[in-house]
Amino acid sequence: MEMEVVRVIARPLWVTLKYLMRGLWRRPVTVLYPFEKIKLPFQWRGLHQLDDEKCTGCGACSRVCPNICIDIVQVAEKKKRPSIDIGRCLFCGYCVDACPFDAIHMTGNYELAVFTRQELVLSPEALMKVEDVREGTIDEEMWKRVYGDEPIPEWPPLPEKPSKGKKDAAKKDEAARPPEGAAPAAAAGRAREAAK
Amino acid sequence: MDLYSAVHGLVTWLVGGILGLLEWLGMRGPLMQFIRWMYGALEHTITVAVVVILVLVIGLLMVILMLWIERKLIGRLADRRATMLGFRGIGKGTGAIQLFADAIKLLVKEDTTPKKADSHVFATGPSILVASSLLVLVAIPWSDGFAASNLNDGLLFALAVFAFAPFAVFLSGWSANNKYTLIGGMRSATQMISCEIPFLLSISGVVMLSGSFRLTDIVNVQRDMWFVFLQPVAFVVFLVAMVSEIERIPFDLPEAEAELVEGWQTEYSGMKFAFAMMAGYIRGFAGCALGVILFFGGWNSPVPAYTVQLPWGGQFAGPVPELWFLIKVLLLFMFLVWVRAGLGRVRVDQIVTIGWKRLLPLAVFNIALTVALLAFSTDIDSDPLVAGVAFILPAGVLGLVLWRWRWFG
Repeated sequence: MEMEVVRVIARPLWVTLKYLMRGLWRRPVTVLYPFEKIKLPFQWRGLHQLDDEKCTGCGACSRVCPNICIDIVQVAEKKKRPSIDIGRCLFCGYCVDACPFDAIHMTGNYELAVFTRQELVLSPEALMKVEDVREGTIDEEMWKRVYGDEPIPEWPPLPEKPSKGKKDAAKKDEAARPPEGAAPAAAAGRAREAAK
Repeated sequence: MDLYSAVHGLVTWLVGGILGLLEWLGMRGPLMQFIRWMYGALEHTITVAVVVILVLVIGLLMVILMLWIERKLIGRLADRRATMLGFRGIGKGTGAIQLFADAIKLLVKEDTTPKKADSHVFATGPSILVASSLLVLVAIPWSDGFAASNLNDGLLFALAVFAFAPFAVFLSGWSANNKYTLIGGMRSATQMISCEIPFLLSISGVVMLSGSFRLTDIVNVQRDMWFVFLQPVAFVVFLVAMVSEIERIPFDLPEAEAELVEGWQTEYSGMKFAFAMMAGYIRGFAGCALGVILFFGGWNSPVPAYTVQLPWGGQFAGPVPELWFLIKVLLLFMFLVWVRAGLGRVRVDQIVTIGWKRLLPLAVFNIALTVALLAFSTDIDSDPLVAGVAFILPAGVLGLVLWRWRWFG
C-alpha cells in the first residue's frame, strides 16, 4: 500500500516535470489559434459549397438530411436549389454522398459564427459563393510527435471551383458518369430491407 | 537601519521640506504653528501608516507575481502555452497584462447576493478572510530590517492569524444558503481541525532548536545550517500541513470544482470572488514565507560569503537579503505549482487520515527525536531530569503508535 502511495505521488510529478523540461527546447502542443492555424485534413467537413452548374434541384440532399436542415427553394422560374440552415446542420456529409450529380461539396471553412440566427440560413446564392479556403500549415514538429517517422502525405488538390467557361467540361463530366439518378435512395432502401 | 527609521526619515524629510517651502513663501503665524504641532503629534502615526501601506502593496504585488508564475508554469507543466496577452496584442506578450485584465473584469462585474442568503454574514466572510490573510503579512519579516513588526512571539502571532481563515470560509459557506457552499465550509473546518495540530507540532522542533519565537532569531540561527537538513521529518509534515492549510490543489477540498461547483465560493461574484482568490494567494505567500523562514534559512545567502572588488571602486558582497528571501519563497511556491500540476485531489476521509494518522505521529516522532538529540548533546545546558521526562513522554506516544500501528493504519 505504501508503495502504491509513492507511485501515485511520484509518477505524475515525474510526468509533469518531463513536459516542463521538454518545453525548454520545444514549443508546447497548443497553437495560438487566431494567429496560427493547423492545416486541416483533406477529409474535413466544413461549410457546404454548391455547384450551380451541376445541381438539378432534385432534392436528394434534402431527403437524406437527418436534421432536416436543407430546404429546396425556388431561385428562378423552373430552377430550384437547396438552401442550408447551418445552425441545424451537423456536418454529417450525407447530402454530399446523396447528391447524384456531385453538386454539393464540403469545404474547409469552419469559422461560421454570425451575429443573428437568420444569417445562419444560407441561401443557394450564398452557398454558390463559398470558397474553399484551407489556410494553415501542417506542423511538422507536431506531426513527428504524433506519428513518428511516418511521412507527411501529399494533400490532394482541392476540387476545382467551377466557372462560367467550364460549362462544357461540366457537361462532359456529367455524360461520362453512369446515369444512376436515384441510386443512393435505392441503396438506402436496400440497406433498410437488409436490416429488417 | 530598519524599515521604520527609513520611512520616518523619508516622511520627516518630505514634510519638513513642504513646511519649509510654505514658510519661505511667507506663510507664518498661528496656522503654521498649529500645522507644525499637528505634525509633531501625528509623526509616528503617519510613519506606521506608511509602513503598513508599504507592506500591503508589497503583499498585493506578490499576489500578482505568484498568480503570473502559477499560470505560466502550470501551462508549461501541462505542455501547453499559458496566457500570452501583452501590450502589443494577444499572443505577443508574457501574459502579465492578463492579470490586470482579470482584475478589471472582476471589478466591473455585478456583485450579486442570493435572495435567501444571510446577506451581512455573506459580505463579512471574504472581509474576514482578506483581513486575516493581510494580517499575516505584518508578522513576516523580509530581512532583519525590512519588517513591519518584529514581535517577540512573531511565529505564534503568524500561526494564530494563519489559522483564522477556515472560520471565515465556514461563515461564508454557511451564510450563502447553498448546499455546495455549506459542504465546502464544512470540509474546510474538517480539514483545518485535522491538519492544524500537525502543523503546529512540526514547527515546535524548529522552535526548540532555535530557542526563540522571534522570526528574525530563527533565521539568524540558521546562518550555517538550514533547519531543513536538521529537521527533515518536520519539514515534510510542515509542507503537507501547510498545503492543506492554504487549500491548494492536492488538498483543496473546500473548493473542489469537480464535486462542489466552486465549493464555498460558489455564490460569490465580482469583487467578493476576487477577494477570496486574492486571500488564497496571500495565504500561499505567507505559507511559503513561513516555510522559507523556518526551514530554508530565510534571507541568509545560500552561497558562502564573498566580496568582489568592483572596477569603479567599492565592494559587492552579494545581493540584498530581501532578494534571497524572494527567490527562495518563489522557488518554494513553484514547487507547490508543480505539485498542483501533477497530483489529484484527495478525498475527505483521506485528508482526515493523513492529518490524524500519518502527520500527527510523524510530528510527535520528530519532537521526540529533537528532544533526545538536544538532551544528549553537550551544547545544551539543560537539566537532565527535565530532558529525560521531556523525552520519555513523546517517546511513549511514539511507542504507542508503533506498538498499535494497526489502530492508525
